[in-house]
Amino acid sequence: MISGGIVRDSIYLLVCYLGLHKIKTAILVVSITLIVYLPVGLSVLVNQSATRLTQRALESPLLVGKRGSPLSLVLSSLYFETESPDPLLYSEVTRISESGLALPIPLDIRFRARRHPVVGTTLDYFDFRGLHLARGRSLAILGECVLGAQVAETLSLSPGDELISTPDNVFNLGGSYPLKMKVVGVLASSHTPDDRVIFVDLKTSWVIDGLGHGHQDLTKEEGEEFVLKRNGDSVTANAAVLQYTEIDPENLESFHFHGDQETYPVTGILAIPKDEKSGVLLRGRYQGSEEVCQIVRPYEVMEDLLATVFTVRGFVTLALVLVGASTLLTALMVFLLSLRLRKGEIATLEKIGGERRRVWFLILGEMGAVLVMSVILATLLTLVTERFGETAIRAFLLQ
Amino acid sequence: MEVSQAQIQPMIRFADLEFRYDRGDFSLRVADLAVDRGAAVALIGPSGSGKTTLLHLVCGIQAPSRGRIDVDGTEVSGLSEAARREFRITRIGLVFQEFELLTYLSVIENILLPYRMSSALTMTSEVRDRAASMAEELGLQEKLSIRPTQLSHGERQRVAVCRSLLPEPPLILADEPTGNLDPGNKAKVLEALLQACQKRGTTLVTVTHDLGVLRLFDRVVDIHDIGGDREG
Repeated sequence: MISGGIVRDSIYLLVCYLGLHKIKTAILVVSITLIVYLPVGLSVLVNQSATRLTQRALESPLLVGKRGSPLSLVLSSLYFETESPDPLLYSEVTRISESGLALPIPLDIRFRARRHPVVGTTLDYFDFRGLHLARGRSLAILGECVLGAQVAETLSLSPGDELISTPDNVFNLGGSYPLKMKVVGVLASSHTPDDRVIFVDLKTSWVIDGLGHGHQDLTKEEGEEFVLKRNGDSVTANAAVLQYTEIDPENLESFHFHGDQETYPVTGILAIPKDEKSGVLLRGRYQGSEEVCQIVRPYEVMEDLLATVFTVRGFVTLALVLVGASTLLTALMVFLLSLRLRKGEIATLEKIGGERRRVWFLILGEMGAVLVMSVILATLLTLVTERFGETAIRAFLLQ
Repeated sequence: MEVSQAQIQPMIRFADLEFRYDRGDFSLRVADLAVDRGAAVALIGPSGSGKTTLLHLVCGIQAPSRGRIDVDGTEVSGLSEAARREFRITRIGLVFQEFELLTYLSVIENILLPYRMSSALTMTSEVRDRAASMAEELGLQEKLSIRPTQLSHGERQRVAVCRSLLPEPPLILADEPTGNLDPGNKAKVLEALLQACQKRGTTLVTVTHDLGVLRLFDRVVDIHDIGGDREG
């Protein structure tokens, strides 16, 4: 049995020894920490991302978008992480709705405000995702926005504050103009990508796009100086007419859209089938070779992606195991050399009559202390990875 | 005045002792030898004649092939390996030619080392005070917190002497304690060792090659006279 005195005295001597060999100890601890942490941390990170990705995909039965990369469509529409795919026409939303097979939820994710994606959608989206307001109210009129929990925290915004959309290109005079949006609500945290975006009504998104706009009333007398030409209902204004960059109760009435709404863009459509059969029928309608749109099951797309990720993880883990084995052998060699260097010390302790178990406790304690410190550090790193894994995934995997 | 049996007994007694290594021709035989209590004995003889082996047999680092050794009334040759270790750390102080101090411990912690290496010795504040006063007695009071590598050879050996004396053993075995010292330090260290033993009534057996210091000892034993390395 090992008494407290042995442990206390041995630890004291061990601390003195390690204190004199700080650099050697630190190098060993860092090496072994990395050997333990890298495969475990990688596994935690991949499993965490796999769970989150598949969970979100499982909750989204069907997704319609312009024909192209299914992965790009899914990553954009579900995770708001990549550049948006080419838009499709709003008429596709009408087509799905009129089919009676599914509830279409349009998504327009082409703009950003202070680096966060602006998601143009309908109120059905909030019901479908089960999103609840933590503060304020929901979207009611044009020009309003509701913030995801993380956006509100990061940007320190609350209901009543204002947020300006980021113009896509300041040199493109025909492009989108910045729109000052009014924050009317903040969503409760859902620990999903919805926390990281700004929600607006689909029409507000079209206003940002320049498809809808508001300006001085050219039908009134005070607007006459800006009129170049009148042709029936059509009025052509000169460049001096004042365009509104903010929607308020005074100018709300002046906002209008030109052209046919059916030709307006959306980047994706979440389709919620009424039942399994309806889903199958809807998918069938997008199978034609002349079809310009595609319909995908997000779960299948993510499964394909994860299969690739897991294959890569397998290779990375194998490489790490090989590197780890060689590092462990090196560490073992360092311990053996240390043992050899301490041969004289062991002999001294034996000669003066030191108890054998104390001598070996002291000698093996060096190895034990290094291993314990390494395991503690690796555990802490793994916990940090688990805690901030989502952020890391977003930063390194999807962007 | 009554004299106890233990006081009458010699500190060390060899009886019909024989030691052989498992390999090689070396052999050491001591038919009969006794070392009185409180005596300062110099053990001399050429290199390889078995002086260090004899010390190792006395303190139980090695066990004899035959015969017996009694130290302070205990038959060391009859003890188990663990018991010999305990006997050694509590009843015998050892001083080595190479000082054998731990470089990662301070001077005071080197002196206290036996108390950290055995359950048979208990570290108390009295022990710590004794260690400090012993260090002062040997002129090390200013060096207690520094490491041995910062000391001269003479100072290192004085630290080793303190370490051997701290558990107050009745016997000190010193294996060429001045072998690594310059002439000036040789005399100082040896005198310090002899004085410290004399003051405490401790028996001292010292292996030495330095014939010039033999006059300082009560008795000189030549290993050849007692049977060292008969066949080697």
